[in-house]
Amino acid sequence: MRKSVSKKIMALLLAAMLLITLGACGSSEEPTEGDTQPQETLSLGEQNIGAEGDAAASEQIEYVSYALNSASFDLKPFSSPASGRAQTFQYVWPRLVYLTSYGGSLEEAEMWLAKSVTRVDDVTCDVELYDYIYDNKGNHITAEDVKWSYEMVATVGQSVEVGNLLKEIQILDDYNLRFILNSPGTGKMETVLGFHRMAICDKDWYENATEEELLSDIATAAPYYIKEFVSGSLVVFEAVEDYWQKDESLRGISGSQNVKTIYCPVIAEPSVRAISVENKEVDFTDIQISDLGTFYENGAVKDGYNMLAVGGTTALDLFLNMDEESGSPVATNLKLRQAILYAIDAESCRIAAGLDDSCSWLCYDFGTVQMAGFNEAWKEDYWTYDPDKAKALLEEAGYPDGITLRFMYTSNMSSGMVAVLTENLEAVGIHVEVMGYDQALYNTYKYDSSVWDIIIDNKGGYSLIDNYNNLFSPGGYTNGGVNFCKDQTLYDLVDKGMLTGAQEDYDAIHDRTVELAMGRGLYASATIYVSQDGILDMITNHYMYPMVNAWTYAEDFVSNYKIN
Amino acid sequence: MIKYIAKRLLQMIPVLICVAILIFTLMFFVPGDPVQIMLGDYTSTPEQIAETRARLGIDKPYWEQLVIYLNGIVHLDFGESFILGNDVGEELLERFPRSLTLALSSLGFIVILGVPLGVLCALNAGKLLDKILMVLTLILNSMPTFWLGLLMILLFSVRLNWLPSNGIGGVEYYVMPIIAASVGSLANITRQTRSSMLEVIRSDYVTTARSKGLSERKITYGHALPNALIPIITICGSYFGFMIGGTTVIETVFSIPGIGSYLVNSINSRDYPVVRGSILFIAFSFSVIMLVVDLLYAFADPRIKASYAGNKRKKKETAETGADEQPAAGKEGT
Repeated sequence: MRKSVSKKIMALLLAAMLLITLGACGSSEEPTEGDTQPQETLSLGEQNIGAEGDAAASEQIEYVSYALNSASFDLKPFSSPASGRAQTFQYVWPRLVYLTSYGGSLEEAEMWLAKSVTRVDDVTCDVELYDYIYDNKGNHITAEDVKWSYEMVATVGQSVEVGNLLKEIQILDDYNLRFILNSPGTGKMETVLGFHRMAICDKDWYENATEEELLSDIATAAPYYIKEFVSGSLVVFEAVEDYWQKDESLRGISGSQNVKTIYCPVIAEPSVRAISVENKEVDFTDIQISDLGTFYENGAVKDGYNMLAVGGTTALDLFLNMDEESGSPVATNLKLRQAILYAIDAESCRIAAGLDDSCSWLCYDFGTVQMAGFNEAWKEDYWTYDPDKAKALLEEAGYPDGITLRFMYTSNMSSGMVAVLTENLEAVGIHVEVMGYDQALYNTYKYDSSVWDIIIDNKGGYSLIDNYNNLFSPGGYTNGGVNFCKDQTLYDLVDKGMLTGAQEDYDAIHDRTVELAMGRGLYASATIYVSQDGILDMITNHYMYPMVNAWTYAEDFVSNYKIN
Repeated sequence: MIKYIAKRLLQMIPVLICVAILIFTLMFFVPGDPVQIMLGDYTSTPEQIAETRARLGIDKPYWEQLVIYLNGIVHLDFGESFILGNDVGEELLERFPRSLTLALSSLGFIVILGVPLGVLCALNAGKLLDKILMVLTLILNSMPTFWLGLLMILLFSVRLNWLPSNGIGGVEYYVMPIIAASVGSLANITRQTRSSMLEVIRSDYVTTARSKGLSERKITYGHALPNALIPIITICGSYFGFMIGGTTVIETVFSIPGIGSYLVNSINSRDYPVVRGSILFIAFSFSVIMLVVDLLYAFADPRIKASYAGNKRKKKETAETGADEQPAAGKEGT
């Protein structure tokens, strides 16, 4: 009897615990379809304003908070690239020009430290600086500082791409410089003058600054300085009171100071970032697609939030090993490569990664559909999923009984996508030896043609031609291009495309990559930013990072961020 | 006792040197190139890669790098982070108080709650209360920390809005991380205390105490518990040591910039100086904690305290005993 009572009590206790546990999960509202499955497309670049009609604040607002997703970074002017650094660098370190859009030209750019930029020829550009640039510690910024900063960012800052593009910087006088590129090319001068990791600062200050000063007491000619830096936890930016650019009409986005203080707490865990916005602990952050339902349903942003989807800079690409000396059967067998590419269902891979039309796009090239130079006609016939054709090609390739290939990826890629991709290949008789490595190991092995036959990687560029150049230019690789392809025709086409920037040259490159069956683009996904109500206009820079300093805030906007 | 502490501290030196050499060797031979990660994909030429390797000092042969590294350690120089370029020692010192706060608070939480619960279970062994608590501890022990942390955030931050979901600041920021980090160990301590107490309360001396008419409270807390403490102290010590560097999941979920998250980030980016410095720091902390645990044994068990006494004192005591007693008795005693 007693035993039976105790069993009942135990059962009740367990049931109660289960209920409490489940009660903590889920939304406070009744679940709707939209919570998990967005119904309509979240348009790229289009903002879904939660509170239309709100009056914009005419004065500088007191503070705003923006949760960063990376803990491992600092904001010293010349330091290794890191995610958290890229997200906030634009507030505290100025460059010559500010590129307003992804793939935008120099002619559309906003002047920052540069007063004017004049193209002399294909490789030369003259830059005139304002003669009244002073940092927040009173140091005067001149042409000498600019030249020295470029040298520093290429060496100490490990931004070797800038160093590689530049042949020389000539100082013409205190406020005039001449930039000379190594070779002409579309977007090259833009990359140099508007380089997103560029920090121009006073040489003397830097050389005499202590480690502490470089970290948290900087001398900068940007509109904000670092008020507080707690490593791995928090960065606080404060508007420079006596900003050198007094002429409001010349300030633009880069020089805006619409908010006095920007608090940037670090929240590395994506779901906690979303919770922080939902809980009104931070005003703004980027979220993952799995958290979209919290803020977006039935094709609209839920009340109380604002949302911005940006993307197009990188795509998930699949490459096949093209090194004929590597021993990989893929490298020497065109039919086999074609069989692989026809066997893959990119749409299923995308769905398996948890993405849909609301926040991602299929690729019809190694670049994204948003990249300048993308041709809509490419969509018509780009490795259309055809397992029967793949089987036939495999047989033609000399493998009627199938073949085993090595497939490499990083362990942080979607396991669902990897499973579907593997299944696609297995279905046509291509057996896969799956090799999922951590990023560091992957980064080492991907340059070794003896390790893999098939690889997937996230690749991107400033424009389509920039992307082609990044992927297939032999200069940046020890062994051919990204997949060890040593095709001179492709090299020549890329060089020509870099020079001309003409659509027909892009088409020729695209066609050549298809002809060689060297790989394919799979899909690209958006970065989704979500903010509290009261933020009326969200602007990002050309690398899709938010320009919180230039946003428009509602008159009654008050941040709920708790300042410690 | 002081001599014992000094001896143990000296013993730590070879241990730490071995750890330093081991972690250096492991990191040296582990595949993964930090320079490729730093310079990125397609932008760096072989010359630039070689130049960066030389600048970081990782182009030198194993022995040369090891000697430079050990020389730095001797001078308390852990080097500079490859990625951030800052001083690893300073960064560790900045992060250590946060990890320590979390570890100490969690330890306090599990001791204050776990030991009395264990005693309660032992005193009610086989009864309903014991069964309920044992099932509860089993459930708590089975909960993944990550899941529990997120669940607590949803309940206490989102639903009830009682506590901040992440970050560092006042006491309120540490409540959820401490609970989330502790529940698994709380269950272990409760179970260990129960088991130790059950063993002790069946001892003859407890029966004797009971027959002498001592109160149950005095028997439990005055006689039984002190004798059951040794395994509990051991578990607490190990747990505390683990918490110093092993709370990565908690630090990530609750955005606490401690040593654990610093270490894991650096492993992913092959930031050798940070990995080596963090491991060595954790090894040092663990050694110190184990020393403290050993010293606590002495307070818990007088027999151990006696064994810590130096030879001189032992000889003196033996001589004194020998003067008072018959030599044959002393021999018998040994």
